Amino acid sequence: MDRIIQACDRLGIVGSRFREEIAAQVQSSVLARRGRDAIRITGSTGTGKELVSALVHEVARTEFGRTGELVEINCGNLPDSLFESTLFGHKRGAFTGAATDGKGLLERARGGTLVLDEVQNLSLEAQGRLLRLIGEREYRPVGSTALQRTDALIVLVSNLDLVQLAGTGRFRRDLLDRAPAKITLPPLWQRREDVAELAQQFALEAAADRGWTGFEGLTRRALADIEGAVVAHEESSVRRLRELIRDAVFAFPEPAPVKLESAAIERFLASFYGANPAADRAAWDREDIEERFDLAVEAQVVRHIAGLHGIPENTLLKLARVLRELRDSLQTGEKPVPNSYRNLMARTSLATKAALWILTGANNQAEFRKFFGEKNHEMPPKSVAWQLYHDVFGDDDGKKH
Amino acid sequence: MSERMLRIGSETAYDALAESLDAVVRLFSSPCTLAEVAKAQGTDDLPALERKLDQLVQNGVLRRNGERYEAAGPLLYAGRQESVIGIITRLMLPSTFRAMQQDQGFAVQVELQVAEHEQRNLRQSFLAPLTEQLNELSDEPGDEKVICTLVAMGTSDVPGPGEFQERIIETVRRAGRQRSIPASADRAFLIQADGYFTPAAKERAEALVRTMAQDLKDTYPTRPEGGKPNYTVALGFSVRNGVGGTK
Repeated sequence: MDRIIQACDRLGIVGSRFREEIAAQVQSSVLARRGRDAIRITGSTGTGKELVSALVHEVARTEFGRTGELVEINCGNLPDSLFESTLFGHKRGAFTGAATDGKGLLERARGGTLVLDEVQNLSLEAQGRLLRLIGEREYRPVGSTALQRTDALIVLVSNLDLVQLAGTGRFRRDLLDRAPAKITLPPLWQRREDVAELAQQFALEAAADRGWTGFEGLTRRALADIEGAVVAHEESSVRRLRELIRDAVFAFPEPAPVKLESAAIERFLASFYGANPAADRAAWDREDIEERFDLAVEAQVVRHIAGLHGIPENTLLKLARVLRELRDSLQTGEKPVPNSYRNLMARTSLATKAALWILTGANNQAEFRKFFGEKNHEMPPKSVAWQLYHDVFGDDDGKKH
Repeated sequence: MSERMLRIGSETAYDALAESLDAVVRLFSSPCTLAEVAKAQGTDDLPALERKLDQLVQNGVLRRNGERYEAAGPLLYAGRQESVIGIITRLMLPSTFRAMQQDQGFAVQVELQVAEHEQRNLRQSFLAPLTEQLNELSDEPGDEKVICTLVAMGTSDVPGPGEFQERIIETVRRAGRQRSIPASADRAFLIQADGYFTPAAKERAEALVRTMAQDLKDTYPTRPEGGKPNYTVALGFSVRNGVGGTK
C-alpha cells in the first residue's frame, strides 16, 4: 500500500481519503491479480479517471518491472470503421489507402498499458471485437490471417456504470465478465475530507500562476464554505472545483492577499451552485456535525491510545476506518464480509478494540481489560482479533508491531 | 463581553491566531522576544512564526516594540470563523479529553432547570464573570507559568443518563449542533478560554471553576419532585502539554 501511495505522490494525486481508497482498490485489482486481468475504471466526469489510469500504469511499471508506454485512446471519437485498424493495426492492401503495413496502438502498448477511454461509447459490434483481446489477449490486424498476442495491461474507462448498461443491453455482458478487476472512483462530494485539501492546492497553484508571493491559501472560513457547498450541492467533479477556485483567485484584485477570505469566493459559490454561504452555513454545520463528530471523537481516542503506547497514530486511524467500513458493508449487504468478521463487525467499538488489543501488545484478556476497562463477556477471542488484523493489513504490516 | 477585550476581525487574523495560539497566550501574559515566543509555541521555525505574529500586529491584536512583541490589550476574543466541526475537532475535543484525564485536569457537569430567557443570558451572567476572573488570575506575575485551558459548553438539549465521560462528549456534540440551529443557537454555548498561570494562580483558577459550577447548580436547581433538568453545563479545565494539574 505504501508503494502505491508513493506512486500517487509521483503523479501529484491529492486528497488523503481518495488516495487511501484508490490505493486499496489498486492493491486488489492490479497487484493482487499480478496485472493479469483487464481492469475497468468507473467514475463520473471529473473524478480523476485519467489520473487513476496513469496510477495503474505506474504501479504496473514499478511493481512488475514493465517498461512499455502508456497508450490512451478515446473510443468516443472513434468511428467503427477506424476502430479495428487503429487498435489492431493493418496489413498492406487491407483497405483503400493502406499502402503499407500499419502498427496499431496495441503494438505501441507492448509491455505497457492500453487505456480505452469512454469505452461505453463503442458500438456493440466494436465491443464484440474486443472479446478475444480482453479474454485471450489475442488480436488479428486488419487484413492479416495470423493472430498476435499482447502483454499490454488493458484498462477500460467509463463515466457510466457498465453493469447498468449491460442490464439495458447497451454494453456486452460477456465483455464485462472478461474484465473482472474493478476500480470505482467516488464523486467528490462523498469524500468531504478531501475538499479542503484540494481547494487549498488549487488556490496555491493559481496564485503561483498569478505570480503571487507569500500567499498562504484559503482561510478556514472560506474552506468550510467551499466544503459545505460542494457536499450540499453534490458536486462530483474535482475539475469543476478547480475551475471555481481558479476563477476566484484570478478575479481577486491586486495586491495579493495573505489569504483568500470567504468574501472572495462567495459570488463563485453562488454562480456555480446557487449557494449563499451566509444563509446556508448553519445547515452545512449541522450536516457536518452529524457526519463527522463520531470520527472526531474516534481520532481523539486513537491519539490518546497512540500516545500512551507509542503506536503510530496513522496506523490506528487507518485500522479504525477500515473496520468501520467493513461494519458498514456488513450492515448494508453491499459486499460479502468474511464470517470471521461477523461477530466483531456487529459492534465497531469492539472490533476496533480487538485490533487495538494486538497493537497495544497486551498479553492476555486481563491485561487488555485493565487498559480498556471492559467486561469479560464483551471481549473477542484474541485469535479472531489476530485474523482480523492480518486480513486487513497483511503479514508485512503485522510484523512491524 | 468586556470593553477591555480585543476582538479578532478578519479571517486571516483568526487563522493566524489559530496557528500560533500558544505563542499569543504567552504574549498576553507579558511582552517577549520572538525566540521566547517560539519556545512557548514549541517551534523552531522562526520565520513562519514571525509571519504569523506580524499578521496579528497588522490586525491590531499585538504590538511590536523593537525586538519585543506584546499584546495590544489585556483580553482577546475570537468569534468562530470556521465550521463548528472545525472548532470542535481543533479545540473543543482535545481540550475536553485533556480535562478528563486525571493527571492533566478535571471536568464537571451540572444539570439545571433554567428558564428560556435565562438560558440566553448565561453568556453574560455566567461565562463573562468566569472568564474575567480567570483573566485576573492569569495576570498575576510570576515565573514558571503554564498555559491552562477552560472549555465550557451549555445546551438545552440535555443528554440522557450515561457514563460521566460519555455524557460530556455527548454534551459537546449537542452544544455544537444547537449552535448551528438558528432558532435556538443563542441558548447554547461552546467556548474555549486560554490563559497563562503561575502554579498558585492555577490552583485558584481550578477552585474558581468548581465554585462557579456549584453556584450555577445552586442558582438553577432541579426541583426534587418531578423536575427533569432542561439545561446542562459542562466545564473542563486542564493544563496544556500535560504539565501539572490537580484532581
